Amino acid sequence: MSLPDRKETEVRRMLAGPHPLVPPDLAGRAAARGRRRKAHRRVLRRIGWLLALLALTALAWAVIAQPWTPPPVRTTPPVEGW
Amino acid sequence: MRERRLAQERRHTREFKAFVAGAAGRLLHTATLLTGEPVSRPAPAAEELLICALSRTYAVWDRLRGEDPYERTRQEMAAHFAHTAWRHRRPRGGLLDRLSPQERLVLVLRLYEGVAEEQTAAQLGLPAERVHALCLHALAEMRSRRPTPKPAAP
Repeated sequence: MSLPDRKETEVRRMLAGPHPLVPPDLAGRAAARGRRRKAHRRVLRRIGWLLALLALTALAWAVIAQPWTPPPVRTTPPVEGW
Repeated sequence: MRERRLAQERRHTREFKAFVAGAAGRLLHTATLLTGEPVSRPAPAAEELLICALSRTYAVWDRLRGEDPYERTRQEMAAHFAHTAWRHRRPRGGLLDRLSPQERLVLVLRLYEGVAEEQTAAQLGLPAERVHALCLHALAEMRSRRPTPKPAAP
């Protein structure tokens, strides 16, 4: 066994020491938090879709209504040849 | 629709709890090594780290598609720890107390979890040489501390 390998094995053995006690409700707590995280993401996704839909509607309206064109001129043209 | 989703949710919770029952011991040990807390006492920071990683795994449980949940959780834990390393700088009396959080992370991933050097580097977004150097330094530090594992018993 080469020298770095021996060192690694030694430290590995140190790392593999006694394990801590797992609290019994760990899985339940993690699952509850995971559910909250999922619900949160769902809400965010819905808000995103809603915003996208709103943007699309606004775009469609803009294409149809073309609010940037000047309004038609309403003054009567000068009468000629009277 | 709602019924089906609830049934699926229950099935996921069941599978998730079975997974946690099998993997929590090892994962909590990894978390304890990372946060540098002693094994003998309850380790709140390690528990928090693990629960955070597990909750992320739970949230993507239906999208794992054959990916190993253990590996996924370990990845989440490593990424979260790397982001919040400054919280774990203060020594807490654990085994890897004298190492910096980054050295602890690399040492635990490489030697305790057995992740390959390239994979560790990719996961942490570091060059492989840096991972190698960190690991060597951590090894040297650990071995220099070894002669006095415990203060002389009274």
